[in-house]
Amino acid sequence: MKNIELVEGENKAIVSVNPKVFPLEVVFCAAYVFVDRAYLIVDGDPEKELKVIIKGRDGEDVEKISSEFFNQLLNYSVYILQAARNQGVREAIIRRALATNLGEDSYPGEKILKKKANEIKVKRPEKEKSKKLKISEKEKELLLKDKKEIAEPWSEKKAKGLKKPKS
Amino acid sequence: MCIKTNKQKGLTIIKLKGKIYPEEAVDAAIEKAGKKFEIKKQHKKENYIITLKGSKKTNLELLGYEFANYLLYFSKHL
Repeated sequence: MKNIELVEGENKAIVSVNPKVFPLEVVFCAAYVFVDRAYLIVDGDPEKELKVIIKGRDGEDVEKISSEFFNQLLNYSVYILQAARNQGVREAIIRRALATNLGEDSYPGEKILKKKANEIKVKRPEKEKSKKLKISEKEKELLLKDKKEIAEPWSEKKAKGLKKPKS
Repeated sequence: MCIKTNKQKGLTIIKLKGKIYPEEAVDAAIEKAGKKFEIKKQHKKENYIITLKGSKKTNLELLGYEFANYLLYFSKHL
């Protein structure tokens, strides 16, 4: 492979990366994945050509690691691309989530919602209100009368003299 | 970045490119590695020269590679 150069007898490989395709940030992320399996050095010119020196730890296959390294480069490129695309949405969600616990002044949307709610309350016809009041008064009268003492809870005093139900 | 060793003095000399590794990462790696072995940092234009001092028994080349992994860690996380 053109991009992978194996150093014989040293368990070492030099991988060249085009920084215009994979920026330095992506190279660091991809290299960090292999820290437990190899020693990695990032070298070269970040404007022209980057070189990653991979030295295997304890008999690890360097050729395999360097091939996997390119897969990781691709993986992190996609990840960073998607993160950049979703940045606006993520920020909006976090801003809204934080604004719920803050006052009105910090989130202007809350003021607008309250204004609209007040407008709806004012527009409600008065007839509906009076009807509601009449119903509630009737209910109150019925509750206060309670001639048959249905509303009163059971007590031991009242149970005196009554026959026990057969089990 | 290149790693050179001096077995007689027990030194590992690392030359770093300032364009690749940010200064914050280099300082953090030096602070971390400083707990394990003696370390010195020198500036040369944009580049850094870092000298590690290990004992005679230690593998000096591996010492340099170990420091490179520290650098990688801090370059990613800072």
